[in-house]
Amino acid sequence: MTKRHALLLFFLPLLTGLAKTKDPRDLEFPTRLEFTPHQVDYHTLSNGIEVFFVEDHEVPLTDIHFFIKAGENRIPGEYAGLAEICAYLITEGGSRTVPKRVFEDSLKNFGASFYGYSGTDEASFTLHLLSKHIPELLPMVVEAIRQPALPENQLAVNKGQYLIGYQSRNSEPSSVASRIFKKLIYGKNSPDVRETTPENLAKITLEKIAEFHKANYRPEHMMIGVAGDFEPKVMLDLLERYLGNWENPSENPWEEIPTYLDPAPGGVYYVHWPEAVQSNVRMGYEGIYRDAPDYPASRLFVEIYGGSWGSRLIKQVRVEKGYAYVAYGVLSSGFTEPGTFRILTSTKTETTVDAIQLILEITRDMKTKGVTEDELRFSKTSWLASFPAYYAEPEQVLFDRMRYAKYDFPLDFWDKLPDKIEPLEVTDVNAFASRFIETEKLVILVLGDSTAFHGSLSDIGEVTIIDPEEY
Amino acid sequence: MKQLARFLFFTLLLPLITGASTYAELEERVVEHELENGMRFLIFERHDAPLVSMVISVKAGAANEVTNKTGVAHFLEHLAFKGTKNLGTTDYDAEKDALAELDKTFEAWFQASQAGAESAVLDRLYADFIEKQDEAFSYIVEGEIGKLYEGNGGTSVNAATSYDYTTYQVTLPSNRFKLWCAVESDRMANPVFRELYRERNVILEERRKGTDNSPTGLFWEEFNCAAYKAHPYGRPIIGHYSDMENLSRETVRDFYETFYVPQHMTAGIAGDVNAEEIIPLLDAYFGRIQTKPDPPEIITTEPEQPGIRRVEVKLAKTPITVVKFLTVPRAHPDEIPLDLLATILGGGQTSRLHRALVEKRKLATYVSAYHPTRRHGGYFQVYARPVEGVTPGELEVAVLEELRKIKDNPVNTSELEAARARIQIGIFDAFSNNLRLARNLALADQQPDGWRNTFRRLEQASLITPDDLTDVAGRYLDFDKRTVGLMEVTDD
Repeated sequence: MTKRHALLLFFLPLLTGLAKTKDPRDLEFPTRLEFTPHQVDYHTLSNGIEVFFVEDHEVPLTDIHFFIKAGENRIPGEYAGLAEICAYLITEGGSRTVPKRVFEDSLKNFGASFYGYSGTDEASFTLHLLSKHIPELLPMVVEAIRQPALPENQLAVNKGQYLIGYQSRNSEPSSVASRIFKKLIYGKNSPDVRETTPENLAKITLEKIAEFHKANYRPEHMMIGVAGDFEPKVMLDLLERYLGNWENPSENPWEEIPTYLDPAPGGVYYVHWPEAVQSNVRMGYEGIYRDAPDYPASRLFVEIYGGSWGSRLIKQVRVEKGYAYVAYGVLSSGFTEPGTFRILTSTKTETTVDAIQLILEITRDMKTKGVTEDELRFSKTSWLASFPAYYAEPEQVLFDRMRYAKYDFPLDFWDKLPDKIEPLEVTDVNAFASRFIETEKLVILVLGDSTAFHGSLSDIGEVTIIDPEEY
Repeated sequence: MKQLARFLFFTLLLPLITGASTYAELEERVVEHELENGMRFLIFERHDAPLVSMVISVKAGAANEVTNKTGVAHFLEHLAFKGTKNLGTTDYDAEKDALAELDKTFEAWFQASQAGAESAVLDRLYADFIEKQDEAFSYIVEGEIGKLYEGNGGTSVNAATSYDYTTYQVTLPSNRFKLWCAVESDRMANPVFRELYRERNVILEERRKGTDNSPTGLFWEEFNCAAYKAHPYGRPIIGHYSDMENLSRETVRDFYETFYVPQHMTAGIAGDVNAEEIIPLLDAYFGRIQTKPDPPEIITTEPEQPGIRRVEVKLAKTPITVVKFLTVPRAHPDEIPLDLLATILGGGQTSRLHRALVEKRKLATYVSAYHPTRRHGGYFQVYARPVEGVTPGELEVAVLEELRKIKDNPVNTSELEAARARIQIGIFDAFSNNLRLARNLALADQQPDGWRNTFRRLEQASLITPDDLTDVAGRYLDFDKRTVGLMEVTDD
């Protein structure tokens, strides 16, 4: 090689401006990335409503969220659906001072949206708008929440939607499987899973909705979160002006009903779906509490078991066996009640029994054989490195702080989790698996056509037949 | 009239819209970079969290497939996660030979089964196939791409196939940007379609889940097929079952070689990176992708529809009415008037159709209208669900009655302004998170009108008049050229 060639080779990368490429496996990064999540500011209105602000001035939009502890868990069974219908009437019905049509048109003319729904333990409403329209629209939606018009014609529209939804409830096999599974896990009458039947609809009157609203939409039940491009002082003044004078009513709030009412015992539950080419399988039982001492270990357990692309369920059920497109396991944790442990897959009719047997084997192995050092290392690195994604957007930080405040948890609960995850060892995760996994408790729901199964469900356990019309 | 509207936009309306000037600022922040091989990058810096999202869009999708090979674009997307000549293997040179042997044994078994060979022969050939498959598996490092991402805190690791595009996405901690460069440049340049036969079972399960075992999935497939006589937009993206069963490594490779060319790739990058610092990395890593000839364009155009097409099925207890009119491709001058028309007709609770059919006439529980556009053509569609006691066919008649009203009576200015306000918020909404922004930028870049036009849509909409909407309603909502889908309730 001549000197000139050697020089050329030496300078070539500089001349072309190219960085050096590396094999991705040779790249090394620090696992944890220190950072400060978006700042959330806390305020309290004069009547005690807690307010959470997170500013983000990139685009001129603001989201104002109202959370009210007025969910389905306060509704007696005969009125199932009332809390949700109430939330829809608030978003679609206007207020006592602004009629429905004017209300809707005001939002429409500014391109804004106002939507709401009711979950198990709270109703939530969001106003999404260009920041400059806050002064016009915020008072209007606050008024709808405090003093909804509850128009009769809107109730009729909502009832019609529920009715057609109920009549078509047994159309989509995957939806049917999910509905029945939840009823088995929580109990048929749990507020989390009840359906709104034609009988319930007949009993849900405007008077009953107004009664519910008056007793349960109250300042002590409300939290407000604001994210986006707003001026905090101006926003706080507006909220104080339109909500600070709201007093708690003299009526008591309606009693809360527990989510877990009457869970079904472990076993196989079968829904016959003639000529199904694929079986829908759901498995699970009661989950854990967020403040359980082994909650951090449970996070790694679920990553290894079924919560990531590299998990055992995905690897064995989907990749290696090709049994399913979807196969995952999740373990949720509740604040006041346990979350749920759920496994979901769907597989062609012929491989139904084999797929369930494989999932059971994977689940048993988690308990009896435990996890490996490699799995622990991988799941821990993955969890810790992905931590910033939990706080990627301002609203994620806002919702996190509000969630923990709502249940009187330390507001930095999640921030402290990495320090609890980092020192975990194989023994910690195995101890959790050993305590938590009880395959005999698994409710195994199969919706499919057993006449074409290869093998029999009775090889898995005693089979209870379920009629979807009755469940 | 249009000149007057333009004048009004800039002199009167613009100062009232704080976002109008912000669009320019946002547009200004997008850094555009193109490699010598033609691959493009759009970078948007945002430093409020140590994360960065990347989406690569390849201008290739199900519309580029041919008969017998439907589903190959989507299958390729799955197999792209199986690795490269470097990733996912312990010894590619040896594995390559094993894969060739494997394909031969599969072909032998397949041909014999097609020819009706005796079961003993088939069993022997199948055993050969399994043996060769096991040998090929012995070289695999399973899921290495996914593990590299997840092990480094990657989230939203996924991919998607549409008619016109295939996208690959991930969000990473921003200090791992180089990892993305290393993995994706290798994946785009050197994919190896290993684990093909068992992954084929996975996509067949995906089809069963979304279509064959789903009454509404089946209905939509039937309806969509009916709307196109010639254009590949009428085929299912996931593919026909019989084609999917037979997709071979050769078919996948041919599709890749033809359509995965760097000049048809754009990456959207949004998050905590410094454009100046990452451009040398992009040059070094993605510059390695070899230039290839331009892929063939789709020349099939959908002929004028000579009459009404109807699909009526009884598959479940979910009554549905859909009415579809084929319209224009993206960036056509009539696109935005049709978008505005769809918003006015069926964009939510305040729309004309909702107020007429749900609230006033009480015939529907839900109704919406929308106007999606693709590279080779769009469609204007009304979707409605009837109330109890009304059949999907009766609701179709009512939908047409309401459509006729908008053809005969112009929309008013306030309706038009409200629809424009929706566009305004929609542009800002695109910036709501890094991943969404990265995807929007990558896809917008591959539209005929380019990514910058995303920021011009409000300005374009401001030039549209009520008469323009009446005009497009008259020309495109031609009842004699509609495709109707009715999902009737089953009898039992």
